[in-house]
Amino acid sequence: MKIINKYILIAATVVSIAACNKDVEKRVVPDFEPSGIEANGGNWKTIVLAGPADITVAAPEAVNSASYQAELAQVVQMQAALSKADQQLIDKWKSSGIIKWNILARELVAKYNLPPEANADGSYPVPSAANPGAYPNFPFANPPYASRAYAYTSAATYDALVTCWKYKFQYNRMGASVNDSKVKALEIVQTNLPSYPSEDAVIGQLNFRMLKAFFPLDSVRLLAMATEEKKAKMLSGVCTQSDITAGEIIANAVADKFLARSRTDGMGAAVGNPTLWAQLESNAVANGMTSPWVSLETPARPMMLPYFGNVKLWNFSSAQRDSLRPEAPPALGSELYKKAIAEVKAIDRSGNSEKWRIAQYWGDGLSTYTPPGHWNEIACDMIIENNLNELRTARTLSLLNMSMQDAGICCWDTKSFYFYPRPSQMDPSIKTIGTPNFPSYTSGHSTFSGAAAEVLGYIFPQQKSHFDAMALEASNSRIYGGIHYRFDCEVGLRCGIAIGSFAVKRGKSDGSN
Amino acid sequence: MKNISIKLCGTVVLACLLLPASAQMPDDGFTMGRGELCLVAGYKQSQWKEYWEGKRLRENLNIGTFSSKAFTPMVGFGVTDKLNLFAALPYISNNSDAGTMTGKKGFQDFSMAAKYHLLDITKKKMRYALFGTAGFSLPATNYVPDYLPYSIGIGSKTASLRMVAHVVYKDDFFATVQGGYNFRSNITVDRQTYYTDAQHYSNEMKIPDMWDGSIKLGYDNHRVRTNVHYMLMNSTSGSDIRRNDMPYPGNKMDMQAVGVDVLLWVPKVKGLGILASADKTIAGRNMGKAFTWMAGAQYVFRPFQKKKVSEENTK
Repeated sequence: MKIINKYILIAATVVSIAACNKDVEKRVVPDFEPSGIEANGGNWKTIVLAGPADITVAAPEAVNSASYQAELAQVVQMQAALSKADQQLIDKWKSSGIIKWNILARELVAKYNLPPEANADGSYPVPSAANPGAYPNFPFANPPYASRAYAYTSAATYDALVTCWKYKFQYNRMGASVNDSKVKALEIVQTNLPSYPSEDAVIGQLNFRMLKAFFPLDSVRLLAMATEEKKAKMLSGVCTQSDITAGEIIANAVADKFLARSRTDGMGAAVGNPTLWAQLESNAVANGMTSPWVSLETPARPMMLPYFGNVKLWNFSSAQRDSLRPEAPPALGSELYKKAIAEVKAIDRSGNSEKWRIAQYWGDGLSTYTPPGHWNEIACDMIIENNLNELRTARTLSLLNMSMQDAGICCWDTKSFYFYPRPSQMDPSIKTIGTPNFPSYTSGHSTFSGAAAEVLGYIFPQQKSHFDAMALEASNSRIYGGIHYRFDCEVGLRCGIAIGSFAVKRGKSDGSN
Repeated sequence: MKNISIKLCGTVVLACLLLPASAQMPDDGFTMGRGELCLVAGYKQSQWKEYWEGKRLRENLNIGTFSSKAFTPMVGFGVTDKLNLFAALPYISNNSDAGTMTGKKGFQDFSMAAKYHLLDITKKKMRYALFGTAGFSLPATNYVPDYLPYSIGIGSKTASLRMVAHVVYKDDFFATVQGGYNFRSNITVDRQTYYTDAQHYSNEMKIPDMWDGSIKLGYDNHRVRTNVHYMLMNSTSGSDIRRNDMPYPGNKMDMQAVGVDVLLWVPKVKGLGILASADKTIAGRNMGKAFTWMAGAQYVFRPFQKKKVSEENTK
């Protein structure tokens, strides 16, 4: 009997372990109340548009007009028939729409951040925008691609909202619940913020248009999101149909302008071809490189986007890019070099350690939202903490992401210029957390992070030292992971900060202060 | 029956996978008698060149041939004739011969199991036995789980319940059918965000529970015990590795393997046996198509013999 009791005891232990909750606890974006209406927002300096007047938005119908009254009646009717699903839609789109789209953009980057598998003959297929569904799916959302998608989407959102704000305060037609007491405010409404054109329609339509261009295979889902967002704002009594239509006009016009820029920004030539690839190597050799970078993958994979360094910049010219290009790295075999590679090699990666944890924490490799995505999440957390309104949210993400794409461009320019080998190329006994397929000098993580911390430190100065510490940790993580020398990281971080300062300069003179 | 029992404190080899094998709970149809202590030392090596990415079998030239080596000390003890306890702690080293990714090594999961002899019926030349097993495992160190295929384990706390049916014909031929359910806890990883078939903003990963089972057919006498086996393992949930992506601990890992086990008793050294086994994975999902072999030794003795004899005399 005693033995059976023991047996029951063991079984009970087993069952109690089994009863553990299997639901994964996830970080959720909390609701928050945006502060400030930015009555002067229409005067802020735009990025691609010469100014908000580039886009014409007709005056709205008067509040007492028959057509507007009919629109209000439509909202009253929608609210009278409010379903549970409608209520969920309202709740979903409360607070910041931009952050929801940013989260979706990060998810799409992670979804498409997979390198194409080699063909049987050892060549690599290239994703085709013209045939996105064929393998490999379009796009391969690697860090440069991601930085560009985030930058275009954020900058276009900013220009479109500045335009929206100009017309809001030019026409001053308030929201549905303000204009009609029969319309209920089913979410917190900024009552003194004009509702025509609808900023939510601008955000939804614009993000749909931009993200569809970067992630065409998900266009159905993106359209559904935009449609939801617009409907939610009518349901909640924020706006009427003509507010939405006016917002769509702005979004479509701004999207057209940004997409036109994207078609001629040099991204199409970033992949290059075998002749050009060979040239990069011979240029580096001509400059004295004795062991030019080679792919450590089997079969050898062409460098990731070797001509991304020529893509059009946001905050400075290509001549300035050249002047920002850092000094040559230590000569291979020099004492400085030996010391640097010895440091990489000395780190034990066969077990667990604080260094390994940091390397993984900032890894942001395959199947992730990439380092720019990581910084977008950090930025969104700060936006929420500081209750930024949509216009300031757009400005923050726009400055951040333009600067990170600039950082990617400059870093890739440097990588292709010096064609510096990874530690594992020089010493195959150095094993890594997973070696990226492009030259070592300088570190992309460090450059992205330096730029990001510089911009965020400007916008949220009380947290500046925190961002700087994160950027330094992200930078060091690459030494810990075995894929970068310390000088790659230090110089990359320094360049990133310099690149970020151009975005700060833009921010200081954009009229928002 | 006691004669049989003294020889055996089963060791089971789980074929090595993308996920390196853990020490397996005793799942055979043999028992140790009261007071018997069984010490086992096993060395296991598993290799694969191809793996199932989801259901697609492929090779990966940046992994080359993956190999997992494990040294597992294990101890078994007959608390009574009916209740046996087991404990094991493997040391694992994983590596591959291509690519630049670092190998991983270290002590993996400490596991314990209790096996209880529920039923025993002998009819003519047939003997029917039934066992129930319950066990648990815990990571013995803070090894890195989220670095597959090189991680030495998945870092989950597990609990398992198992039934073992054992049939013996003429004292020599046996068949064992066993099956169990493994509850597996979620894990915490260093990444704060990861993508499976959706984006997860969490450093927690869901580890699917797992069914496993096996059938063994064998021959056993006082010199040798040998059997062939078929085993299978199925995750109850989890996602597939996406094309050209890395695996992660929450993947749906399924596999089937066939193999052979041998236990040879060393003549003239009472209680000392040599173990060997070989396993071939024949089907799988999100796992390596592995070939695994194991070799080891076990020693069975009665460290508390004097006490035991007196106790037995009082029966």
